[in-house]
Amino acid sequence: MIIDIHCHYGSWPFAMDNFGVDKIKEYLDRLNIVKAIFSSSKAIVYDFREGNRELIEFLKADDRFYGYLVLNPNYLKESIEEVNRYLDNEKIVGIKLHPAYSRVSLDDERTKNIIEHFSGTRLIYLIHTWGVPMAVQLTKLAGQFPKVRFIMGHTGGDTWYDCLDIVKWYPNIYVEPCSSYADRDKVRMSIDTVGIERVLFGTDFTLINPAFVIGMVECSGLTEEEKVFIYYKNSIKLLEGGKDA
Amino acid sequence: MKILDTNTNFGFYPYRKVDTSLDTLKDILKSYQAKALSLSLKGIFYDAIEGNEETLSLLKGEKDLYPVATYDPRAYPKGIEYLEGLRAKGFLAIAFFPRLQGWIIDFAPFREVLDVLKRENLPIIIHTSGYGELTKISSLAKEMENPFIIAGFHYSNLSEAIAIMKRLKNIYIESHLLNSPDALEYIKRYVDIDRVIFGSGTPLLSFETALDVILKSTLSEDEKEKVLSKNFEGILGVEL
Repeated sequence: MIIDIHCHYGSWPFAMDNFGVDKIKEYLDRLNIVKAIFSSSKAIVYDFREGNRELIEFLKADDRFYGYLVLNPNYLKESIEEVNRYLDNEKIVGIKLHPAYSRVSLDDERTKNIIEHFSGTRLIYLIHTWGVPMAVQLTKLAGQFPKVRFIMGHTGGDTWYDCLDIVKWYPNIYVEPCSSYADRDKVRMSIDTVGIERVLFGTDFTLINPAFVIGMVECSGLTEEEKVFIYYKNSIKLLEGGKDA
Repeated sequence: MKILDTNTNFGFYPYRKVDTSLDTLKDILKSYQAKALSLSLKGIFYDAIEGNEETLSLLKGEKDLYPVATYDPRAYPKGIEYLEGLRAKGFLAIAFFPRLQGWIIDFAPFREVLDVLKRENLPIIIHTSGYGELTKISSLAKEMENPFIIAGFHYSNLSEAIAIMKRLKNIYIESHLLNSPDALEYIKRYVDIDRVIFGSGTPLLSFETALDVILKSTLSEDEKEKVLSKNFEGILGVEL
């Protein structure tokens, strides 16, 4: 049983099929994924409101589908309106920020403004992180908003080992390992550095094959009990506001 | 089902502390009863000829590990004579690492190297990525009979691999970075599954990831067997 906390709905400009509802369901079935949290690719790379609207419709198609609203801090007022529009929707569990696409850094005042505005809500944040500077910026946010829970998407990407050291002292930063490179020691070192309860399972599906990340977990020499934490127990606790699964 | 991994290595990894020893590689392969082509990291990071000698020396007597040579064109012409008669020395293929070593396919010394390699039909494995790299390789490969196995294709540049493989029969794609959910099915649909060669990048990268991508795909058992061993054995013309 797996909960995938990093998925996407929408097309990609690459040599792959567009994944509609049926094809996504088939993958979730085949790979034993019981809950998947999606953000809209259209919302990330283009128009966040149009993408979020499509996501909301998509989430109705299956009980396993949950979502992040993508916000674009370049449009601060509209981003705040967007969250208020969907805050009562139980299928929305959080906010996705992608500083590389929006070109608004995590230490920009507009980013802080968004987080501050919704810091008292149940929403979690999935933050695309790539490189040490972004990880450092994330720790500043985590320190400033200690009750807000952040997921460091990709664990900082190709400098993940340095990024783990940077975020380890921040209990409200969780890490998830997906990347184009399936480093054999990434999951194990994540557990050893930040603790097993802060390592989540995420894949970047429909961009990346969940089997790619399952292999990263399976090669880590974990006990069956440890795998349970990674595959779903930590995510359940995070999604239920800190309550144990 | 036989597993033949065409992308493994061993030795010291300088960029972070990680166990990439030959013993670890052998343990991983043993747990899957896999065979592998392999080379010493010394040949990539330090000196190709010294690394090649280490590869031959350490893999001598290993029944499930087959030596792969390497050469760093930045050192040309130093050591170029070593590339004569690689098969007779015991190598099954030669691998190049332009991305790690910082050179590009349009590098004149690399053309000189290929001129030597075209004298024997040894598979040429190239670890590269980036838009346009395979297109440049294709212009070199069309003048040769050697099979070219390209490692480094993932979701963002799979389109280039498909376009080139449709035109050139001696281009193959190595599987370890095929990370889009339907990459194998896509290659099967637009090219041929016979053109995919299994590789993992272990022990630096996850063997299980590379294997899971094949085993958890919708390919038939016969097609999985082709990817995992038979396609490469077909290139070599021998069963390993």
